[in-house]
Amino acid sequence: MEVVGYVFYGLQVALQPENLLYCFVGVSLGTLVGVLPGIGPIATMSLMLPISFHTSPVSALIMLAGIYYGAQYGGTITSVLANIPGEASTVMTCLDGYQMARKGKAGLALGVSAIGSFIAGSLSILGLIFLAQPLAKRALSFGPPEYFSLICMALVILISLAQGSLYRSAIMALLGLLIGLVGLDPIMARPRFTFGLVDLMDGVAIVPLIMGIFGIAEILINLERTLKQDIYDAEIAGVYASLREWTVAKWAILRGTVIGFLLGILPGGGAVISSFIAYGVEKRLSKYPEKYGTGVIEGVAAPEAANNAAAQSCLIPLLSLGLPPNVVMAILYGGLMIHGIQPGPLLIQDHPDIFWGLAMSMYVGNVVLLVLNLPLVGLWVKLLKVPYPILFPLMLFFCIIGVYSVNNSVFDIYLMILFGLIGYLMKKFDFEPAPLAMAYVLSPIFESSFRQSLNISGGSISIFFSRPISLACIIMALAIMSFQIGSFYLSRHKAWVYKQKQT
Amino acid sequence: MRNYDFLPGLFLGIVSTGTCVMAYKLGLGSASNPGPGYFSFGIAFLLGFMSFLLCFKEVLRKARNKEKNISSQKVIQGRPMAVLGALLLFAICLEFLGLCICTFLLMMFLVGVVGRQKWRLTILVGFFAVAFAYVIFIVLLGVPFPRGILGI
Repeated sequence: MEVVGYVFYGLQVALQPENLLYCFVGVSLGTLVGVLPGIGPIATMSLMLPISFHTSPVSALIMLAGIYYGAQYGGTITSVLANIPGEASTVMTCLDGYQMARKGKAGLALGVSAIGSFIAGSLSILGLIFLAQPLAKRALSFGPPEYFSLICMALVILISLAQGSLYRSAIMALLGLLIGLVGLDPIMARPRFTFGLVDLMDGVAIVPLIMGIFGIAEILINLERTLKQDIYDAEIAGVYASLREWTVAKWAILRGTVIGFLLGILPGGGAVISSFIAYGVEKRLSKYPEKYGTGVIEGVAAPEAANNAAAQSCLIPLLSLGLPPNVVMAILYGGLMIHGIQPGPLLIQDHPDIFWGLAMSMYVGNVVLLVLNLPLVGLWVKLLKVPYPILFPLMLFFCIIGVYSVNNSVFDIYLMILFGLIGYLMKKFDFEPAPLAMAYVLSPIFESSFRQSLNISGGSISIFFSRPISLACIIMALAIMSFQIGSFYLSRHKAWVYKQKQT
Repeated sequence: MRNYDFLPGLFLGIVSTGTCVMAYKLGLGSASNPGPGYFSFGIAFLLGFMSFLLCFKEVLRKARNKEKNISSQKVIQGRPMAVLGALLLFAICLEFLGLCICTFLLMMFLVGVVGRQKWRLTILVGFFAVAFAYVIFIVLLGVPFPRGILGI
């Protein structure tokens, strides 16, 4: 019954005119960037981070979260109508969604994905409500060794699930940890790696770093490409599925929701991976797997449900443990930090308005998205025609004024340009920015918990193996690492055997 | 691109060596009472080791005369560098020229020169950006942007 009271309280917060406005702005902006290929929710959230500084913490979080799950809806539109994934998480939707559009079923594909996303999002919010609170209560008993081992495990999972080379991702995570250590030492208050600069005493600020390696770098990379698109121009009709089509799609939606919800909670997981896995599972369970890729309704429903469920369940570790499971949550973490709020087990207890307001605003946001997506799909398609040479200068400009407005500091602009260059070079040399950003966010807690643990144990690392939760996390991390290394050598061996057979 | 592994490996190796030296100077402390440089030294050492392996991989590949097939997309192009240069110039001139003039000049360069749009459209986008920044950030949000020599 306590939960019901909190749900009503959350609705009360979410329905306040200011929060409603920011929810609308967030989901609209999310849909917009989801529609426009080349601009992702990460870049947009980092762009909006400084603006959120001027609002209340609840409104800021509602807007930033709205951008993320709004982008999952928006990305579907380009995937179905232009065969261009507006978002990485809608890549799988292209396979069957575009084929449905070519068969004259664009409306049905968009309708199933919008309603499926709504169902998945709503169920995921229920999971968030019922899981986050007990998890936060359990986390209150966590000490420094548990936190250290948990972060170890999170970093290992994050590196394993990152795109591209495992080795390069590990290097980026280490670099991120070092960047996170710049500033005053948390225990002895001595300046570290500041080069005598007063601006670095508080550490490298999160906003210039995130904006630089994601926002600026993405714009610079896009400047090198020309995005050509073949947009489906016919009238979009029949967005509501028939009873027979619903019967087929409903199980795909439910399976996608469960997969998305579970993978969203895991570190390094999130909308992208869950949509790929949901599509794969659906194809494997299907009676007609050979038809996948030719316009099968389950091929749209499952990945769409999964990416929306994951977009909302990944809030659980952030709000209950204070550990962001992916880079989008790291930006939300930054959003809370710039308001002076420490995410963690005490957040739900100390700031119930933030937790319950955010959870309920996502219901409201999902309804807004349903209204925005189905009738206004023609308007979103028109936006695809805005030329990039006009869009990118405006985005760069918003980056600059945004980053300046947080601390009124020109130094932050220099820092953002520097990280923009680093992010650009990272992309050129195939280094993933996500492990760097995540490790940077986790670095201060990681160091403090490590040093505190050693202080408690008198310098013995056995403290990490003598506590059950800590031991479980360490075993899990080692198992994942061994599996990754094993599968790497196995694939190399297979390639060698194949080569030997060829010669 | 040549030196696909070597250059980043070398750069990261230099960063980690520098960090190790600085961390050592800060004081490592002991295992039971770690100093400010203890954790950072460990991380930097690990980074240095991994960077060394990255460089070594490249050297080994060259010794075996195996050229890694890397697409032309890996070449660093001029346009992004020009954009970064313009942003840097914006930051340098901001306090002297003020937000409005700097914004207008930046937009003229980015839309007109880098984006190769018509001048009429370029000027329009420039004015829009200045008006937007002025109304939202200076008037509504009250952010104290530098006014520059002209006081605007």
